[in-house]
Amino acid sequence: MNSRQAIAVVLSAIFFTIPVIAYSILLINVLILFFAFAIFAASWDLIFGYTGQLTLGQTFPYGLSGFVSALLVTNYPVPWKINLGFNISPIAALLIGALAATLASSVLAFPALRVKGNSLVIVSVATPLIVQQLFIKIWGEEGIPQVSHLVQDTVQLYYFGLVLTILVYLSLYWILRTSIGLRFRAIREDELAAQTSGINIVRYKFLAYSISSFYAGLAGSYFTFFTSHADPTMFSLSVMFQGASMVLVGGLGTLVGPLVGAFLLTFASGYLEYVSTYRLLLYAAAVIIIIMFLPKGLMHPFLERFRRKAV
Amino acid sequence: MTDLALIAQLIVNGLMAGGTYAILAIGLSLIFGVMNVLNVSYGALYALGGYFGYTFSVLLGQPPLASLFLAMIASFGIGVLIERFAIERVKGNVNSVILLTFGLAILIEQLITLIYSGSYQAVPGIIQGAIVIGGITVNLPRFMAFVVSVALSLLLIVFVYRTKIGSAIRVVAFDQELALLRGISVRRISMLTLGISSMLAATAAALLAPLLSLYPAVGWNPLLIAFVVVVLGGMGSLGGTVIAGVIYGLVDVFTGFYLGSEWRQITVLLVIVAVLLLRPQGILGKVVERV
Repeated sequence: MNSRQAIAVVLSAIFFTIPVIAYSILLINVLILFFAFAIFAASWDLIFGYTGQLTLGQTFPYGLSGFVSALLVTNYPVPWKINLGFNISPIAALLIGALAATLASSVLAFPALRVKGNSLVIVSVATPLIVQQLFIKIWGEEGIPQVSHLVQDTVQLYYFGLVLTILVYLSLYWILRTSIGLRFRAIREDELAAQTSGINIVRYKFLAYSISSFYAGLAGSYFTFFTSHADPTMFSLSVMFQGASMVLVGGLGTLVGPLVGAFLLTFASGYLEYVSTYRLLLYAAAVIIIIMFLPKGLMHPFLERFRRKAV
Repeated sequence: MTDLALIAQLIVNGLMAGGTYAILAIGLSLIFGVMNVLNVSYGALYALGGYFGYTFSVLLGQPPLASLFLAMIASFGIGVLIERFAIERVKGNVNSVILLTFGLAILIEQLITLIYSGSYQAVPGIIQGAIVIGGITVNLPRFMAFVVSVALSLLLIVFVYRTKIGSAIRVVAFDQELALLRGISVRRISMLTLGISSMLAATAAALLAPLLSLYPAVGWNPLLIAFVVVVLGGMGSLGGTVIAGVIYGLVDVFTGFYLGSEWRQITVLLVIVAVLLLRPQGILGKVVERV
């Protein structure tokens, strides 16, 4: 076990004991928000930070999965509901939601793969906004209320989120270590060079989109269970902006980056929650300062030290 | 009203709306189409220009026309500052420019909320009312927006294609090193271009704010419309932008009338996606290989 893995294990252990030793409802709520955003930020980091495809449409799978899960747990009771102390139905709803979002994103990815650069940015901004308008027409501004009556206990939701976050980051760590991850990075560095080295760039971009949409979907459904309603603002650009700022603050193209960024920004804003204006102001200022002065993110100096030690 | 008169009225409305869309898009066409800088904060600059106009006319009691000029000057200054102190630092990286201007857009929006509150503000127009010509009603504020838009677009086209500074802008857009070799200050030209673009956004806001109203997030929809129009007209073609604005206005008015106004925004977005996917060079544009 190297030092990085040791740090990860110790940190997970600390998070597992937090509800027991330092219980406060505000802290638990902020940490639940942290889990949702850590997963969402990681999904964007995979597609932009690792694969180099700048999309601002990550709220499409995020919101869509939230709505699908909300529909599943409110209107249609899932048949295989087993009582395990924790109802399995929200988990099933979560997975089905994320899969549905992946499927929808994959269908859209076919045409979206034809455009790149500036055009991809515009298409990706427009897509969630179309869906937002359609959903406002269908369900109204309120969306679907009263989702989480199945997950009543906040501490259960906390542990659920903790496990989910660990699973997401572990699986990302594993994917990025395999040759698939190597190909994603090759596409990021130089698409033409990747293509001439025999990488089927359309296939791997498609794969990156699908995986990233799945994770974004998980985050969206989890967030829905936390706020107990799925509303059309989940598709908004400000949600996208919050997720992106976490990745940028922590460090693009690293796994530690979105985790640290999500932690810092949810904590900073958790205590500014009463004025949402200051929250977005903080995010915007952070993004501008980071892009202008520290484009590799806050964690870059630490990661460099680790790397040097390893060599 | 006969069917023919109705269609004539819709066409007139469409042309008027098209004029306002053209003026919205022409500033973005300059910075995005010609200079190839995707400025996501263009919508926020539109909102800011609107609030400048509101400050001068409502809060400081200046006449509407004077407020328009003051707002244009203030917006020009803001644009120059943004280029000089923010965008210039990350110029080499396209993605950084997009994310930085995204951050600026959110920052401007939140600062507006902080200063002016998040509520809706009504703005007095330069002219009001409507006239009826041959059974067709012409809304005067929209007619003015149409006239100003066409005039400004022509001015801009002459400026970009017929003056020395204009050709300097095109050289910078084509190749920055070449521009430096020719003794053109890339920095000054970039500042000037973003200043003009921001000034045009403020002009659009001053003409449209009396028709719509003003609130901090008012810029996002104009930003998307401007994107549709610029892409539809073909990147880098200012004339194409004006024509596309008018076509888009006609589509918009007919959609609003026959399908209901709540479909208009969805149409905007569907058109943008369809054009980018099916004909990325724009319906009027030529295929240009960018290396």
